[in-house]
Order: sequence, then structure tokens, then C-alpha cells
Amino acid sequence: MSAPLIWIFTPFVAAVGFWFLKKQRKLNLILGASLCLLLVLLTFALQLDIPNTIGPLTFQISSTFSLLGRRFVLDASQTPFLRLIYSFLGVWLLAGLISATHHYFTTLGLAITALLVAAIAVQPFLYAALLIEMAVLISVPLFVPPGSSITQGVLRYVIFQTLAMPFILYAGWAAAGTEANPANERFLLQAVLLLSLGFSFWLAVFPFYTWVPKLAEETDAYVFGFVISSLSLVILLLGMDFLNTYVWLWEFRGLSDALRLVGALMVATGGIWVVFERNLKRIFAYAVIIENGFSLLALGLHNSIGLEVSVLLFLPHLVVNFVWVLALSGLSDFTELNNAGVKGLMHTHPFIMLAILSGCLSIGGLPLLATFPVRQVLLENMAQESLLIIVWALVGSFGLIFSAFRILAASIESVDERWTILESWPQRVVLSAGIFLLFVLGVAPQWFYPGMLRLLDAFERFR
Amino acid sequence: MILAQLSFVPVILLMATSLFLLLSQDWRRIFIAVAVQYLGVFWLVALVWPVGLAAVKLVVGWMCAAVLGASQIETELDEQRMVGTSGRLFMLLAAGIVWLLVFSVSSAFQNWVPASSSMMLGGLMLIGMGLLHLGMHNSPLRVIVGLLTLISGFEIIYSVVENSVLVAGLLAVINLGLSLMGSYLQILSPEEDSLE
Repeated sequence: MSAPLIWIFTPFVAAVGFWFLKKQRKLNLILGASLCLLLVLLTFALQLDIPNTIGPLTFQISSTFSLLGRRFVLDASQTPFLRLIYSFLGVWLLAGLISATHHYFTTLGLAITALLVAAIAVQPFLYAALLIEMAVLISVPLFVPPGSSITQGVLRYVIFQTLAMPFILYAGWAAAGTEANPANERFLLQAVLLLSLGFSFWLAVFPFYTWVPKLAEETDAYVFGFVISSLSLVILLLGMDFLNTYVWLWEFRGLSDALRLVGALMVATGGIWVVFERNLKRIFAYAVIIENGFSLLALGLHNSIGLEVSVLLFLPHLVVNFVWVLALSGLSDFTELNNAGVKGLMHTHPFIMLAILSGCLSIGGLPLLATFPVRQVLLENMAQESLLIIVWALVGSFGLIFSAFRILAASIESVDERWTILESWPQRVVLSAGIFLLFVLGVAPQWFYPGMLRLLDAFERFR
Repeated sequence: MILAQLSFVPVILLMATSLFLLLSQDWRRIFIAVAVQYLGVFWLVALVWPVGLAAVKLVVGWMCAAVLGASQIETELDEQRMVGTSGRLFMLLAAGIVWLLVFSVSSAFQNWVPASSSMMLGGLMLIGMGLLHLGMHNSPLRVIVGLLTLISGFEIIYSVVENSVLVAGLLAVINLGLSLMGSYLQILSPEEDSLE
């Protein structure tokens, strides 16, 4: 038995099994969430590469699984990532019970997550490009389930994500050439250029992010939130893996400047476009672009604080995305997802509106909310490097805060002053818990920091 | 040996098929062109890979064409963009510019990747024409054909630097996945929900 068999192949096989239960949506979601819980518990219960004893039984779980000369490795340093991604999927599946997700969600969600875990585990890791492409292709039926019509956003998503794959594969070859011959400037430049382009397509970096708002607008918010959050998390971790593995890449002159510039452009342009945006799904899409921009800014600090900040941002971003899209999903059942559609809804759907507002304000970086403590550290450190970047980052943040206040203004505007709460109890409970968690992440981040920082254990040079 | 001596043949074949793919409006001919295009890809890849392994590209390409063809219901493609004589002339001109660009830069790219001139020309030709295809059309079938063309070009050049069986297998899965996705998008219809 090996760890990749447990945390990659088991969920993948289970995903195929859940396909046959697709008509029983609720059972499917509950079983899927239970499997995720089991996989998370196993990360605590099992020790890798040393003998485990349960009663009279002694067995050893190997961290490595070999396939056609390539290896999938999930050692002890990867367990924080496994806990994070399977907890994330479990919560997402469980909340699917109240958000009317499609009956393929469990099957495809598990398959996508298993492939993304495989992308993190595969060695040499340039093969991750192929596994991520497979995850992207599998996600298409989630975006356009049977019965829905094809949208341009989905096609653009497939095009841009597919374009990343060749660049990453070539970059892997050029990187191997650089390792073999560090003095060869040609290989070095080639590797850096190809990697930059590959990650730009993957992470929807400026100016390749036009598909993100379009995809968000045209597809189910819950599905969009899940896919984009999982992909961003894994791709950022892969980027850190590249920086960890290749010393020459980490020390490449101009890398930190490029990361800062691109990050600032993403945050600033996202914040500027969001001011003119009235569609709530597109506002969320721009928030995702801003999140990724801040993560790149953190990596652009080019020191240990930057790396810590970038992993500490993962949890607030995942929680915000979950709360926000859950609220959007609840809203899409009965109204148009724009400023006119939410008019007066604070009087009838206060939990949904507060969830949207707290998500928007969190990414805007408002004090006492999820991203603020980490964002403050990032901006303090960035101020020592470049004040101009800070100005652009603040422009982006203010754009989102402005957008949140406009949504607030629309939602409290009502001719009927009475308060009649129409949300279901499960909705109230889950959304309240989500908003509370955003608040806790803002006021007591120290409870979560040690666990999140353990994500860096996977990167030898960054420990 | 004979394949190497006639390595200019697949380049001409790829130029012809990629242009045909861009201009044709008949889906049957499009899928035949896709199948012929993969013959050219196989020929070029066989210059550096064992024929048995290179044949994977051919078989997978033909399977992709078959999968896409099986889901097509209408005879003519329902397209609103780039139709009529002026549209075709414009695409022909654009293809000419892509060819010119490819012939101009291929020797420079050979400094980057140690590929033979025919492999570099064939690969870059398909990448350029694939990108052109993606830029000019927006129907699902066209997008998938464009992506398959682009990836074929990439596979030709990548075969020079990587001959792993696992990579060949995974790229085959991705090609098939793309065509299955294209096929799925083709058959999507609102009525299908009632079958669930």
C-alpha cells in the first residue's frame, strides 16, 4: 500500500463509483463528503514510510508509487496540503446540499481533486502540466452540464488553460538543461520565459484574464468558485515548488520585479474594472483575480516573509470564496445577480447579503475581516521595497470596497420597511458560520497560522 | 531512412491540411483533413521516435477525428464568422502571413530546440495555424480542431526533446480528452435534461 494509492487513486476510483449514484444527489454528496473526511482523518492516523500498528496488525505505507518509470510521491511533508484540499472539498460537497448543485458535482469534484493532488505528487513535476490539463477537461461537464448551452466563457477557459501546458512542458526541458549546464544563459532565459508564460495562462495573469469574468458570468457560481479556487491553490503551490527546486529561478535577476509588477497590475486592473461592474458573479471573478494578484505580490517580496504570506493567504481566500459563492448560489435561485436584482434584499435575505458583503470586504482588505492581518504584513514589507506598488494595491482594494458599499446601498433600499427573513434554516446556519469564520480569521489569525505554515514543509529550501 | 529523405513531404502535407481546416465548411472534409494531418505528424515524429511509439500519435489522431465526427449531426457547419468569399480571402491572407512568419523564424527557433528544419517547420506551422484557427472561429468544433492542431505542432517539436512512454500516453489521453469534450459540447441540447 502506498500514500498515492490512498489519496489519489482511491478518490478517483470512488468518483467513478459515485457516477452510478448520480440520480441520488443528496446521498452522493453525503458519501463524497464522508470520503473526504475519511481521507483527512487518515492523514492524522497513518505514518508514512514507518511501520503503523493497529491492534495485532502491523503494516507500512510507502510514500512513493511508481508508474512507467515516473513517481508519485506523497510524503509526510505533503499531509498539510492533503488536509487542506480534502477538507475544502468535503465542506464544498456538504454545502452542496443547500446550494442545488448539479448531480455530477460529487463525481467530477472528486476526480478533479484527485488529479490536482496527483499534479502535486508527480515527479518530475513538469508532468503536473498534463495532469492539470486533464483536471481542466474533466471540469468542462461541471460548467456545462447536460441540458445547458455552450458558452464562450467555457471555450476560452479551455483554450487558455490548454495553452499553458506546452509552455510548462518545454520549460521543464529547458530547466533540466539549465540544471545540467548552469553557465548556459540561453537555457536559463528560455526556461524563465516559458515558465512565466505557462504560469500566466494558468493563473489568468494580466492580460490573460478576460476569460475569468466571462466564465463566472455564464456558469453556475458554485461550480466556478470550486474549480477556480482549487486550480489557483494547486497552481500557486506548483509555482512555489518550481521556485524551491530551481535555485537559479529563485535567484534570477528580475523575477521579483516581474512578480510584483504583474501582481500589482492584476490587483489594480481588477479593482478598477470592478468599480464599473454591476453583475455580482463578475464582481466575484474580479475578486479572484485580485486574490491571485496579492499572492503573486507576496511571492514578489522574494524572502521568507513573502513565502509565509503567500501560504497564509490560502485559507482566507478559500473561506471567502466558499462563503461568497454559496451566497451567490442561494441568490441565483430567485433573482438576477446584479445590483438591480438585490434591491431591498437585505430585508428578506440578510444572511445571503451579509455573506456577499463580508466576502467582498474581506478581499478588499477591511480590518477585522479574513485577509486583513496577512495583507497588512504583506503591505508593510512591500512598502520597504516600492511605495508605487502599495498605491496600486490600495487602488485595487478600494475598488472592491467601493463595490461592496454599492451592493449594500442597493440591498438596503426598500419601500417596505418590514423585515421578513425568507432564507432556509440550513442556509442561515451555514452562512452565519462562514461569516463568523471570516471574522475569526480577521481577529484571531494566530489560531490558524501554525497549521497553514506547515504547507511550507513540502519545500525543503523554504522550511 | 526513407522517411528522413522525404521529410519535406509531411511539411507540405501539414501546410495543405491546416489551410484546408481553416477554410472548409464541410465537417466531413474537416475530419478527413484532421486524419491526414495526423499522418503528417506521425511521419515527422517517426524521424526521432521508434515507429511503434510514433504510431501512437497516428492512432490517437484518427480516434480523435472519429470521435468528433461521430457527434456531428448537420452536414454543413453553422457558422456566422468568416463566411463567404471575402471571409475566405481574409483567412487565406492570414494563413499566408502565418506561413511567412513560420519560414522566417524557424531557423531562429532551431537555436532553442535541436530539431531538424522539417520538424521545426512542421511544428511551428501547426502551432501558428492552430492559433489562427482559435482566433478566427468560436464554435466548439472549430475550437477543438484548433486546439488539436496547436497541440500536434507542439508534440512534433517536443518529441525531439522527450521520448518518455508516460508522456506519450498522457498526451494521447489529453488529445482524446479534448476530442471527447468537443464531442460532448457538440451534442449538448436542452432536451437532454429530461433524460436524466
